[in-house]
Amino acid sequence: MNKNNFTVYIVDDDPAVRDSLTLMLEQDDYRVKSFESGESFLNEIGLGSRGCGIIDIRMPGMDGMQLQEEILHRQLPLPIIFLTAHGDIPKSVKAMKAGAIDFLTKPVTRRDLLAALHSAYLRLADIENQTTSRHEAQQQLCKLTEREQQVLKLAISGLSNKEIARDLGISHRTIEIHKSNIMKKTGAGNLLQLARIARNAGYSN
Amino acid sequence: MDNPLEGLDSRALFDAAADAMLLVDEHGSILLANHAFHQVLGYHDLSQLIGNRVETLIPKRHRQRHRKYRKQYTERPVQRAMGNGRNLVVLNSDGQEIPAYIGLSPFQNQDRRLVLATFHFPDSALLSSKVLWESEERMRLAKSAAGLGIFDFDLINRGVLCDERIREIWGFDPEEPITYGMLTDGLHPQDLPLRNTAMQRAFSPEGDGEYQVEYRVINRKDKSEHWLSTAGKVFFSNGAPIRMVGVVRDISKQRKLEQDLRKQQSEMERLIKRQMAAQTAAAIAHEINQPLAAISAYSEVALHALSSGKTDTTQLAHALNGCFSQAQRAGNSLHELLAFLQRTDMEIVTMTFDSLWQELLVSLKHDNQHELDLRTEFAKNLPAFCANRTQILKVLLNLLFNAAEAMRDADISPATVTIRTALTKDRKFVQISIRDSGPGIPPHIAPRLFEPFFSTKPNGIGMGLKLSRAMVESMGGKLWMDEDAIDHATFHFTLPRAP
Repeated sequence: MNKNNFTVYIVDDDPAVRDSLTLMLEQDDYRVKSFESGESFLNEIGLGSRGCGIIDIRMPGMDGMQLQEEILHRQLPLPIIFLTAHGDIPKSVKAMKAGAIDFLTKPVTRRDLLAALHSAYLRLADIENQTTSRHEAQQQLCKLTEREQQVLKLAISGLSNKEIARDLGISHRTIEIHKSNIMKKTGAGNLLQLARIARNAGYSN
Repeated sequence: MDNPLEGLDSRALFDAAADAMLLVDEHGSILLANHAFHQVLGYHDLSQLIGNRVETLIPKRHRQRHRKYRKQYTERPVQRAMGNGRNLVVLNSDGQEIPAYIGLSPFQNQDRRLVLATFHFPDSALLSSKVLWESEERMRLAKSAAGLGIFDFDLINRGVLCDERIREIWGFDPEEPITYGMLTDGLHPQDLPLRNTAMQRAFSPEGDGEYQVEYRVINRKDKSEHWLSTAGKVFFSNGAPIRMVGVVRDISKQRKLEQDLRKQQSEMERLIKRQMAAQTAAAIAHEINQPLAAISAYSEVALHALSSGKTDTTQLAHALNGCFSQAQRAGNSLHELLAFLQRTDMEIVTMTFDSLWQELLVSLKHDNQHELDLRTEFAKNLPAFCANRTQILKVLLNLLFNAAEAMRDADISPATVTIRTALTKDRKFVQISIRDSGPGIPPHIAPRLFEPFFSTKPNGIGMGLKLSRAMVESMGGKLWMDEDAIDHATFHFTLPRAP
């Protein structure tokens, strides 16, 4: 686990909670930044921020659940661990469904918090891997011409060359040339690999 | 001189009588009606009478009963007044009810057992029979519409007259002679003292003779319970009560409605109280949990620093200082919170125990849920004291109801509670003590009684005693429990004597 490029963002309105948790996590070599409100946190972070949020549910102004919504809305790749004073079950269910790592009740133990952070770290890596492969796939596919992209979409939806030719109103031979070019440009060895690249890039079939 | 009775025609004699008369056979058929009967009651067509049953002369609602009485009379015929003093009526030819006194005389004619009925009509009844009939009919309708029962006590001869409604409520038979004792026996034992007090007040020659009280009657036959509202008037002669007349009204339905309403209200109050307790608990939890979370984290930091061997004293001091200041913060929050919860705009006034006692009795009167048999041991010349009227009443009711509930749960009846007042030894405080006749408080529970949210009652929220103590203390007094009482729980509280 490489903690160099991983920041823990603590969002809690209580200074003593922020201070003590910061101390605890720094002791474990985490980089920690703390914020007294959801608003000040949102001002600070962006797409480049890499890490995880430890967020108090109950805060004046924007509360923890609203902050989670906003983070999802902005599509920030940030796993969230919630802290709460009450074991609020309906809220925790909602938070977990929205993708939270964990829902911890205060006072939280070092063990539980570190375990949750570890899960968050793994989740982030997962998200990033997905993002990377999508990025790569999109890079590969953007080299295709407009006609080639049309052919690609029809091919991965399971149509034969004949059917594609009829659909697009061009000759069977031309389709074969387009397909061969698509394979060359994307480096795909067969139709199955091509389909995987297309899916990673976010093409729905 | 000729015998004046010679050749006397018995029929002419019968017709000459001033009083109306009827001759009836053993089957109740009218054999003969005299001239006066025709005149007074307007039966000019003889076929309306002769050969008919006597019941045709009686209002429909009494006919069936009359048939029964007639049968009884035929078995034991004696000369007597009919109806045992009840107000009788006979129907005239227009169907109006005319009040009448009726005498019955049996006589034997050959092998037939006949009955001679003589009618005497009070003058007023005949003179204004129509007016009277209408007013009586109106009265009867009103009485039955209102469900009123009427009683009339002759206090000199101990005679008791009651109408059908009263017989119905108490479960007496229609003909059964009623005594005062029978009426009293029907009362719910718990309401007897109340009724007796009201009676004594009504009989007092200094008073206005008004009798007004509500009590329960248990029906002798079906054991049903009826709440009655009674209003009456006592008449005096030479300073002594001679007669009491009044009406009773069955108010069971209203009582039930009131009780249901009150139950709903107390249920609401309980919910509100519970809600308040939940909110209070949530407020406390929030105030305490934040510092606890910080203390927990700080102390784990310190522990981790110590166990990892790389002890950074600055960090350690930081963590321990955090623990200390957060513990202080938690304590202060609690004190502030409690001070806030106990904050009330209290008006402390000087009052006497007598005035408090009167208010307490009023409050208890409106309470249907607790059974209490109150005994008093009041100190003479108890000085006035300082307290908030509403709060001290709440404290007293809370202690009394706790006692009543404890005794009810232990199946102790009557639920006797003794209220005692005294001046403390230093003569600075008035002390009020409440002792029940219950099972006492188990030793393992006693120390927890004053803890907030501690309750032995399924519906209790466990704030009663705690709040009572807080209220008494805010008025400058103390509230405690007799620790060494083996049985019978006793609670005491003091209030500062007025300057």
